Amino acid sequence: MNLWLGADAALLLATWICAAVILRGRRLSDCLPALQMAGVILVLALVALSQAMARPSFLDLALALAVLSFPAALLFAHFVERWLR
Amino acid sequence: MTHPVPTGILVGASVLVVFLGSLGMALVSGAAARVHFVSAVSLVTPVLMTAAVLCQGGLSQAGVKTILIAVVLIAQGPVVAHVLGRAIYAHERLPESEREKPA
Repeated sequence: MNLWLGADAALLLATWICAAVILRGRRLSDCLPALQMAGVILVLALVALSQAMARPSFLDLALALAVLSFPAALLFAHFVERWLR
Repeated sequence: MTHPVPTGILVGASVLVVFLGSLGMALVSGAAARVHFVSAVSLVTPVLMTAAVLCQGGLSQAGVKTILIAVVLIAQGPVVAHVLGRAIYAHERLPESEREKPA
């Protein structure tokens, strides 16, 4: 197996840990850090997948996810802080 | 310009940091404590992954794009950690009566 493909599989396994934390969380504030962590791990998994497939154009998807996860985190935090419980 | 051994070491280290961060976040109790693990992963892992990509292919198109991704992740990490910490603090400390209602 390709080194990058193995790393990609391991990173996706770590994403499942974050998903378990999100599903087990009692309050919404417990889930926020796991959601952010899952976003970072998915960006890295996309980088590893692009290297495994030897297609640099796949990195555009990782870059878009990295850029878009920032306003997403800000919005989630804003809603949790002000309205949701 | 391929260096398989340093690439393997860097990729393995980044996967190890991600795993330790995820497990630590799952095991620790308290939302505020979990933010520390998010910060650690979002600051350390992009550097390791970028170094691995640069070791494998040099300053190619993939290398430049990975550097850009690492810069974005590293730049947003402290801001997101601060915002998450503030939201968690407000969410856990403020009583329901002091919370704003959506319009």
